[in-house]
Amino acid sequence: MLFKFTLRRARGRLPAARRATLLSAGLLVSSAAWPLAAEAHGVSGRASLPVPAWLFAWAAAIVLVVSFVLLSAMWSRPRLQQLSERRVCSWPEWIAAPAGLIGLALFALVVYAGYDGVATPSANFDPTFIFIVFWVAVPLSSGVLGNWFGAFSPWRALARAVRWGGARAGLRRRAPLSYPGWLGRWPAVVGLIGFAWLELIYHDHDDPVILASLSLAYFALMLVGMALFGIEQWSERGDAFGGYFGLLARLSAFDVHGGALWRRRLLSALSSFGGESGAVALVLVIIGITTFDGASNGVVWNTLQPHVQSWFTGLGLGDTPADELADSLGMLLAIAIVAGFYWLGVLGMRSVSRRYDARALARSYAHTLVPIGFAYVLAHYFSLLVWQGQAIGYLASNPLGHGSDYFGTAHWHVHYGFIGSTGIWYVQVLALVAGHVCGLALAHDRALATSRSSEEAVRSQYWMLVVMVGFTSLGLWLLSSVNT
Amino acid sequence: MAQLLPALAYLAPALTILAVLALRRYPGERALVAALERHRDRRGRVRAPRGAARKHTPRALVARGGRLIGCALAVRPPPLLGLALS
Repeated sequence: MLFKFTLRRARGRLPAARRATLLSAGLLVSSAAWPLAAEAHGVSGRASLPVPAWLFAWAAAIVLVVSFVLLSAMWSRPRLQQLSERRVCSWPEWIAAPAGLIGLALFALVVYAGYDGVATPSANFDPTFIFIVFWVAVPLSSGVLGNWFGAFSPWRALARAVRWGGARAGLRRRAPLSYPGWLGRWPAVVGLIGFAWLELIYHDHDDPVILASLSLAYFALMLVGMALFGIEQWSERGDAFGGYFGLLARLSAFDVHGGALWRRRLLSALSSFGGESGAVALVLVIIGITTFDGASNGVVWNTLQPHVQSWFTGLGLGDTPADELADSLGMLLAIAIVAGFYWLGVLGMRSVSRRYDARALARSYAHTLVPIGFAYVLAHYFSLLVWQGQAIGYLASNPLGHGSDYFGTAHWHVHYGFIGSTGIWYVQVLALVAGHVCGLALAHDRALATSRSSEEAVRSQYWMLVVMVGFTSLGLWLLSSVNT
Repeated sequence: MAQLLPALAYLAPALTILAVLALRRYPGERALVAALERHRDRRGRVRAPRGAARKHTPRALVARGGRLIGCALAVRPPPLLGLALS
């Protein structure tokens, strides 16, 4: 209220730049007025930081502003708009077969452990493998190593095996339907939201029997999709996980396709992403579900959620359905907030030049959010991966929880001293900052390629800077507010 | 509302920049554009090939007078004209 009063009195006398300065100063002072403990929570433990955690948001913002200045001044021509690959090495095509067999074997183990293993989630192979190895380790490693999942995808492996067998038997069959353009990436969007709902909201999400049953259902759905639209078409667009892992794999300097390992300029494979229907939604959902995962453990949602739940209870719903509905609304709200951040930047860019409509701009810059999605996943799940991920070591030897020791590792346990909470906080900050700097670079490169003048290119990127700083700050706040 | 205050502390940098842009101010824009264009010019000069100056030298493209007769009688055109026609 003090600063609003100052603004009103000054309007008649002070120029706009001064008003902006007063407003900024007001925000700075008000943010410094809240003494926040230097806390950062991972999966467990508190980091001991030399300064309050919110100062890291300011430091990250400064890094992004400096990056923006350097990019604007020194990155003078587009470098990432065209993909150029160089083959590193190749291998015989039959290598794909054992990779596919490994994927199928792991899938069979998931189903077997789900139906025949113990019901205790921590002692059964399925929850750790699905929610940590499959959902976290695979996309993160894809972002570094390239799209290796395609070779190991169990449903794709079975489909390719059936096609190969049919070809050997003289039965050549084309897909009966061509993949419709309007469908685009929407199946992947729906699939990711569904999996996130299962992981974050559904009460029995770690029941091994349910996980195994849903895995089988998904497998069957993938086979139907590939039979109708073709293996490669469906794998890239209709497979939620294949599409998600493949999207993050575009970050990598490597790619795996055509029986070879290829090397390319870092980030250059992202420039062709964004034109399809649902592409923007896909990236926003990736960031949004991770945002909800963090927010659902924070004070704000834990304060608000009981009120929403009690409203649903008042409508006659039971406690569990009301709780799940409340959290479902929360997840949709998180996705909407993330979408709002992005659209703010898009509308800002449109205010610079009216040549493109907002939707075209949103699609044109959608690829700049992919490094942010990767950064969010890495930052949010890093502690889960390094701590609980170690459990796969002993679960591999005893997947059903019946006391077996196939690989001699059943006696292993999780070493929490491997990395402390403070180290995890710094990794999270570094991941967020690095991801957003990459996003800025991609946005700047796109602006150079599509803008008519240097003024237009530079001015439009001020708005992307706001988007990047906003996402960085949001990510840091979520990480710091996770309750132990 | 009290729980949202810490969130605002984190979002303050973004809100600060947003406030400036909302007032249609782009601080440092002129300097950045000038630096970008200087960098582009410098790259253009560095990348210009050695023969660029020679290529811009005006030369006769059409043979006239004695040269026209000479071209008609010669087995192959004079070197300069041959370059111009190639």
